[in-house]
Amino acid sequence: MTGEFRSRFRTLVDGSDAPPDADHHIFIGPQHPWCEEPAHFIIHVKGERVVEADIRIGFNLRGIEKAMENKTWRQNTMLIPRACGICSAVHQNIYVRVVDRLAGVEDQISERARLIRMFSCEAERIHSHILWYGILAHDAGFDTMLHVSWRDREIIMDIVEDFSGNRVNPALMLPGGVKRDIPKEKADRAKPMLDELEKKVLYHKKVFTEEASIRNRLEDVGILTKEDAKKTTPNGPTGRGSGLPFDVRKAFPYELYDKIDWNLVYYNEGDILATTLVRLDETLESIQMCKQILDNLESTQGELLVRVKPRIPEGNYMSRAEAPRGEDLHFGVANGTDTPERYKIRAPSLGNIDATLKRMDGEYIADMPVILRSYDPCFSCTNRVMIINEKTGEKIIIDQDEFARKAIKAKKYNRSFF
Amino acid sequence: MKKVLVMGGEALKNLAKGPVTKHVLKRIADHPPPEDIRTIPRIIEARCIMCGTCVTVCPTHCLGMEKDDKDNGMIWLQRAQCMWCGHCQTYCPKDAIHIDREPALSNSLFSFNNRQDYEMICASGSYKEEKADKKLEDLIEEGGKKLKYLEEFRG
Repeated sequence: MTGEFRSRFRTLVDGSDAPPDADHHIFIGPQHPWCEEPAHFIIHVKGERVVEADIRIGFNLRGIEKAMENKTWRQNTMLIPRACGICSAVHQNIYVRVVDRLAGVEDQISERARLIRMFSCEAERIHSHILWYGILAHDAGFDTMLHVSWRDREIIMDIVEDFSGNRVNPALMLPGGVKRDIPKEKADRAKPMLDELEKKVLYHKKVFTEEASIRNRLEDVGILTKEDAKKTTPNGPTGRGSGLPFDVRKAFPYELYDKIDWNLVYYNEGDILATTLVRLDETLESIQMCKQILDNLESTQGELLVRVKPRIPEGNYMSRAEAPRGEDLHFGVANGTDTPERYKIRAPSLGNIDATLKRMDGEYIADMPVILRSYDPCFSCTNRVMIINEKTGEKIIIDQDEFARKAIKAKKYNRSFF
Repeated sequence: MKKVLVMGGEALKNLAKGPVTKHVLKRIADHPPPEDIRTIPRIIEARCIMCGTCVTVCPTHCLGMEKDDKDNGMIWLQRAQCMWCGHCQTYCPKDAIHIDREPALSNSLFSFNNRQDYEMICASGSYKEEKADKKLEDLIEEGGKKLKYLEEFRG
C-alpha cells in the first residue's frame, strides 16, 4: 500500500505503531454484542473522532478448501454451499459452473436448468438484502424496522422452501444441471407472493428514505468518495454506492443474465444511505427478475440434468459471480481423478474490508456500528493468514502457535518479528 | 422529504392486532412441512442392487454398507450425521431411494437418544435378520462409547 494509505493489519503490541495523535484505543470484537461474526477491530480515537481503524481477522478458519481436496467432486457439491451461511446458492452456482466447464458439458445444459439456477441466485439476493437492512436498522437503533423487514422476509423464504425443500440452503444445483424442477403449480403459487413482497419492499424503501429517525442516522455518515473507492477496490453494493457501476452479472454475463431485462443500480453519494438504497433497489430489481424467470419457465422445456462422469479430466478454470455481498471468485484445478487437486475460494467480504476501514476515518465513534455493518460482514468465508514484511517484501504463512511464539520472542529479546 | 412517524400506521395496526406470537402458534397447525421437504433417505429394498453409489456420493459419510453380492447386503444410516442433502436420491441408478417426508422427524432427530441414531435402512438376502441386528447393536455400542467420551470431555 502507498504512503497515502497506512498499512492496515498491523499488530498492536505496546501501542507503538498507533497513529501519534490518537489518545485512546477502542477494541471491538471478536466477542462483542455488535459482532455476529468474529472480527477484531482496533479503533484509534482522538476525543470522539476516529483517527484510524484497523482490523484483525483470522478467528474462524474452518479449512473448507482443504476439506474439499479430500472429497470427490460430487460430494463437494454439498460442501461448497457451507462456505457461507447466507450466500449458499451463489457459491454452489460458481462451483457447478467450474465443474461443467472442466467436464466439458457447459454447452449441453438446457435453458430451463439455467433459469432455475438463476431463480435460486436471485431469491437468495432478495433474502440476503432484506436481512442486511434489517440488521442495519437494528444497529442504528431502529428496531421496529428490524422486526418488520424480517417478518416480510418470510415470504421469500416460504417460496424458496416450497421450491427446494429447505429455507436457507436451497442446494438446487448440480454439475450438469439442477436437482429439481419448478412445476407450473408451484410457480403460480409463488407469483402472487412475489407481488406482495414487492409492495412490502417498496414500503421499506419509503421508510428508509422518509423516516427522519433512520435517515439522520445514515445520511452523510461514513462517506467513501469515488476516488477513495477506486484506490481501495470495494466490490458489490459497497462499490456501487460510491459510484462504481460494476456488476459481474452485467460486465461478464453468466447463465442467462444477458437474456433477461434488468437495470444496474448505482448511487454516487457514497454514504451509508446510498449503500442501503443500492440494496433496496437491487431487491426490487431481483423481485422483478424472479417474476420474469417464472414467466419464461412456462415456455421453455428441456432436460434438467446432463450426466457428468465422476472423474473430471485434467485442467483448471476460474469462474466468478455476483454474490449479494460482491464479487465471488472460485478457482479449481482438476487432475484427472474424482477429487480436486486444489480449490480456491475468494469470497466477497475480504475485498470490502479496506474500503470500510477507509470509510471510518474522521467519523464519530457513535457511528461505528452502522459503518462496520455497511459492507455486510461475513467472516466465515474470509479467513486467510499471511504475514508480509513491508521492508523486504518477504511473505510467510504460519499457524497460530508459531505466530504466538515468534511474537513473544520478538517482544522478549526486543528484536524484529522476522 | 424527511418526516417523522412514517411507521405510525404499522404501530397502530399492531396495537389492534395484539401479540403476533399467538397468531403464529395458532397457525403452526395449519402449516405442515412442505411436501418436498428434504429429510433422511429411505431405500426400497426390492429395487436396490447394492451398487454402493449412495455410500460413495454421501458428503457426510453417514451411510455405511456391507455386502456379498447384489442380492445379499445391508446399508445402514447414521441419522444424526445426515444433513438431508438428497444426494443419494439424485445419483441412485435404480431410483430406489426416496426422501422421507415424515413431519415429526425433526423431533426424533434431536432427541440425543443413542439408540435412535443408527438405523438399518436396507438389508436383503442372507443379511436380513441376524447379521443386520448384530451389526446394528455393534454400531449402537460403538456410538454409545463415543457419546460417553463426549460427556466426559464436557465434564
